[in-house]
Amino acid sequence: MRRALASLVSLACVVVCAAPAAAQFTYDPPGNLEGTEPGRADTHVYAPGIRFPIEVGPAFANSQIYGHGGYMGPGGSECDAANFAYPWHDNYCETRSWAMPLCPTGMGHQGQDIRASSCVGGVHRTLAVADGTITSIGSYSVYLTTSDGTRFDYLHQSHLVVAVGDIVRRGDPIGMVDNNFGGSSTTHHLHFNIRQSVSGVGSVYVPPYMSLIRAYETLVGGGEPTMPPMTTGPRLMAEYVHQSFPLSSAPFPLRRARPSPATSRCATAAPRPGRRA
Amino acid sequence: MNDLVVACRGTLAARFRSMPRTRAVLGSMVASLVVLSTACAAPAPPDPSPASLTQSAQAEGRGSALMTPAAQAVVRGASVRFLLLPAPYAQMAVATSGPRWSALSARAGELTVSLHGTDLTHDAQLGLAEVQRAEPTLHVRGAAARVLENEGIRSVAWNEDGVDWSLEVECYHSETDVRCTQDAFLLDLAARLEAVSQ
Repeated sequence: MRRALASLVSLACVVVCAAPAAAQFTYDPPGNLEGTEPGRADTHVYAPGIRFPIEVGPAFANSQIYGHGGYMGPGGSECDAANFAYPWHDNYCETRSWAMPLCPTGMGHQGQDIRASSCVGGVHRTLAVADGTITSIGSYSVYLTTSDGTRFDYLHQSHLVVAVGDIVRRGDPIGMVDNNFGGSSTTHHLHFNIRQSVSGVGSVYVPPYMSLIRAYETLVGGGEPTMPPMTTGPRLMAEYVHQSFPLSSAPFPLRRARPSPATSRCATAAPRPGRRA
Repeated sequence: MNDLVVACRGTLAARFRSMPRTRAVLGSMVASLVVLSTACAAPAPPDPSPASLTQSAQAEGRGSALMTPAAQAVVRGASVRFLLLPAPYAQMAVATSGPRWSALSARAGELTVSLHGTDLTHDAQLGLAEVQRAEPTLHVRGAAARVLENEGIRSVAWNEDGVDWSLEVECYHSETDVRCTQDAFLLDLAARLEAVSQ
């Protein structure tokens, strides 16, 4: 009896230890930028209720410049595991020479960069964040405009399945996360903007970070309907990539995200910025 | 073409003027042949400079008449009054609209031009300091305007008759194409937008 009980306990322990530990979603507060001076500490959700623009998690909002593989980063490649780890980092207003009236310096990055679950292009599907119309497609941009005139910009994609004039529903496919930058390339990520007409300012890129956090919480919490699986080649590639770079048991040491001494971190369970996960 | 031939022939012929007369005559004939054969054999690539586009617009007329019937129908039925792109973008423009917005998008080779307007303003509860910082510094179409840049996509934003507009240009070679690296082309395009009367 005692032996059977011990065996049962051992078995339970093995099962528990072997099960992949689901990484808890955490995020740094808005305005807390990586490797640069503070951005815009804006907790306003400019686009409430949007769907997360990448089909499935995990996804990682962070800097392409100051992360691994970025030219201001600590070295390594964009595929470094540290780029695919929580917490999320705001990079609206990250240092750029581009005029941005809502940034503290008057210049900066206008959107949020999001990595999908791997650094492979053409395998992670992007979806419409809301019902709307595809109003423009450029060399590396797709614009989706919703009924209230809010525009959502998807940059650097490939494999587009929409055309200008298409009416899309929330969750409809748009394209794939990639590194398309017209005649050149960038890292594999989705650059996501929200452009709105704001009182006192006019048409401007507004901070997307908090809207994306709310959308991602819904996604990873199981609150979004799933789409039928793709039946074409990229699906197989995506599965391979997932198996090659499991987040919970990486074959290489996962570098811990740098703590932010000045500000605390946020978690899904505690969405209010400032509370430690 | 004749102007081009005459101009080029004159330039080349001038180089032979210091030579004996017979050689100069011969040289002038050779110059004419060279210029003619070059002009006929290889069509000049389109000049993407703002100047050539301005000339093209003036030559081809107003944008509204050049739009496709489908685009014209969208423009007529829109609840937010359109501004129209000038030629040569009018011909290729796709028009879309919603209850509180209207938009045009035109792809011309390596250049994409898009125009979005909305009459719905969101209250972001910005502080006074932030609004003051956001004061526009330019003027477009008689209104205060602001140029923004987003990943190489250059835009100018202004308010016109209660509609907040944003005109954008996106280039395939975003780092080297002067239409996207400088303001001149964008601002010239904005000035040539055509208001639709309703």
